[in-house]
Amino acid sequence: MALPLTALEKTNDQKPGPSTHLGARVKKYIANQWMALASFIGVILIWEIYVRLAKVPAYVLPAPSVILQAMIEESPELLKHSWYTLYEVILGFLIGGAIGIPLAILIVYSKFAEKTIYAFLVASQAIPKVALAPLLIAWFSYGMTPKIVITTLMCFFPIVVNTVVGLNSTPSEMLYLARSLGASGFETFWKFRFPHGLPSIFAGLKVATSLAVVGAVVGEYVAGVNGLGYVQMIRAAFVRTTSVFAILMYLSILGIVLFNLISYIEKRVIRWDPKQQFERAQE
Amino acid sequence: MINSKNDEMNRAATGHSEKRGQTVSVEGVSKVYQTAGGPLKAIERTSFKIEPGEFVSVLGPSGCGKTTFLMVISGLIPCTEGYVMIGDRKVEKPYTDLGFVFQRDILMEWRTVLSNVMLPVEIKKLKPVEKYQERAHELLEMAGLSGFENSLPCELSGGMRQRVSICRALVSDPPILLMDEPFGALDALTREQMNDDLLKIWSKSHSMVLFITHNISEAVYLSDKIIVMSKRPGRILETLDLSDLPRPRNMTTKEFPAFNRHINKIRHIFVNQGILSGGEEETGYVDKLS
Ligand SMILES: Nc1ncnc2c1ncn2[C@@H]1O[C@H](COP(=O)(O)OP(=O)(O)OP(=O)(O)O)[C@@H](O)[C@H]1O
Ligand SMILES: [Mg+2]
Repeated sequence: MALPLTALEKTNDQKPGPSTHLGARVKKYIANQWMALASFIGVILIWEIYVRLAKVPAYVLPAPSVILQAMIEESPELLKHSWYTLYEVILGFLIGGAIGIPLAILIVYSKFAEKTIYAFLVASQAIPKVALAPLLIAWFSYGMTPKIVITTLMCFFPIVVNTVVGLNSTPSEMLYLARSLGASGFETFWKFRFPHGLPSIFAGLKVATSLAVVGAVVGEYVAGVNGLGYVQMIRAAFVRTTSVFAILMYLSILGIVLFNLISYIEKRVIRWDPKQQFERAQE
Repeated sequence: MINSKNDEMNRAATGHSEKRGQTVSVEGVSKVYQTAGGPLKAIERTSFKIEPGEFVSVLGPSGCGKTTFLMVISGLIPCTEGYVMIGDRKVEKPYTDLGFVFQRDILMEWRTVLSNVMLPVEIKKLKPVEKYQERAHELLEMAGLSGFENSLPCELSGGMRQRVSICRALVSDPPILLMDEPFGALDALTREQMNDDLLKIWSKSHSMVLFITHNISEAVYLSDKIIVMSKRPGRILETLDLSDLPRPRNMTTKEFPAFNRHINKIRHIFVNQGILSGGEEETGYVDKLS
C-alpha cells in the first residue's frame, strides 16, 4: 500500500533486545524494584535497632541479625525438612492442577457438570479446609499422604474457578469466527478458548501456590513427623522463638520461589498479556 | 469435501476470470432476539438476491440489524422466519466457504500477525501451505503491514489490527466476502486507500462482496448495488443500482454527476425516515421560541 504512514510505522518496529548480561539484568531488576527493596531494608533496620535499643528478649522478638544467624546455623536440619515440605507442596499442587483443569473443562462443556459438580464445589467452599486435617489423618494415617491431600484440596478450588472463568471469557465474535471457519469442537477449544483463557488459568495457579504452602504446613502441624511445619511446632513448644522465626523465613522463601517460578513460566507463555504490554510501553 | 478443497487451491493458484460464488438469496428473513427485556425484532421480513461477483453495500442507521443480517446469511445464527439460500443449498449451519470480517477486529492475541492471517488455511487444512503463505505475505504487504509479520497483535494500532483481520478473511480467496464495517476504525486517509485496495482485490478475485458501512459516499464509491435499510426492525427501504457509475472506479468517479446524485438520493431517503435531520430548518429554533 502506498501510504506515507507505512514508513512511520516501521520505525516503531524495534523490539527491545533481551538483556544478555547478567549484570545488566540485575541492574534492571534493582531499577524496577528499588522501592520494594528499600522499604524491605528499612523495616529490617528499624526492627534491628528497636530490638537492640529496647533490649527486647530474644524469646519475644529476636533481632533480624539473630534470625539470619539461626537460619544459617540450623540450615542442615531445616534444609532437610524443607525438602519434605517442598515435596508435599509440589505434589499437592500438581495433583490439584491435574484434576482441577480437566474438571474445569468438563464444567465448561457440560451443563450437567456445571449444575452438579460446580455448584457443589462452590457450596463446599463454606467448609474451612484446614478443619478437615484431623479427618484426613484418621483416613490416611500419618506420613505424607494426608498432607498432600490437604495441599491438593487447598489448590484445587482457585484452579478450577479461574480455569472456568478463563475458558468462559472467550468473546462471542471469536467463537463465531471459529464456527465460520468450520473449526471442530476440539479445535475451537484448543486454538481459541484455551489460549484465550490462559491468563486467567495462570492467575489461578499463582493463588494456588500460596495456598499449597499453607496446606502442607497445616498438615504438618496436625500430624507431622517431618517437614518445616512440624519442626516449627516443636520449636514453638520449647519457646525457641528465634528458631520459629528462622523457619518462618524458610517457608516464605519457599513460597516466594514457587510463586516466581510460576510467574516466570507465565511470562514465557503469555507474551500478549495486556498488563505486561502496558508496563513494557512505559519503559 | 475434497473437491471443494481442490477448488480453493485452484482459485488461489490461477487467477481465473469468470465471476465466482453462487447466488445468495434471502427470502422473507426475520430475526427476533430473545432478550432479558423480552423479544426484540432486529430484522423484519427481508428479501433480496445477490448475484455472483457483485459488490453490494448495506447502509443503515446504527442498531438497525446489519450485523444480524450478515450473521444470518452466513448461518452463524438461525433466523426466526424465512430462509437463506446460497446456490441451491439452504443455509442451516455455518457456511464456511466465505470470508468474514467482523465489526470488531478479533485477533488471536497469542499468534503473530502472519499466523493470524494463516488461521483459515490452518483450520480449513488448505494445501499447499507455502502457496497460501506467499499470498498472506502479499496481502500483508498490500495492507501496509510488511515488516510486522512476526509482531503480536498487541503491538499494533487499532487500524492495523483491523487490516490484519481483513487479510485473514482474504487469505483463502473465498468466493463470498462478508465485511461488517471493516473500515470503521480507520482514519480517513487509510480508509480511502483501503477502499481502492479492496476494489483491486475484488476485481482480481471476482468474488462477491457484501459490505456493511455507515458511510454513504464509501458505499456509492464501492458498490454495484446499495441496500438502504430502515431503523430497527431493519427493513429494506430501497435498493439502488449504481451501474451508471463506470468501473474501474477511481478519483474521477467522485466527480461524476451521478456520484453526487446517488449520495443525495440516499440522504433524502434517510431524511424522509427521520434518520437524518436534513440540516437547519428555515424557520429556526430560536425564531419559534421568541
Ligand atoms: N445477541 C443479541 N442478543 C440480543 N439482541 C441483540 C443481539 N445482537 C444484536 N441485538 C439487537 O439487535 C439489534 C440489531 O443489532 P445489530 O448488531 O445487527 O445492529 P447493527 O445494524 O449492526 O448496528 P451497528 O451499525 O451499530 O453495528 C440491536 O437493537 C441489538 O440490540
Ligand atoms: Mg453492526
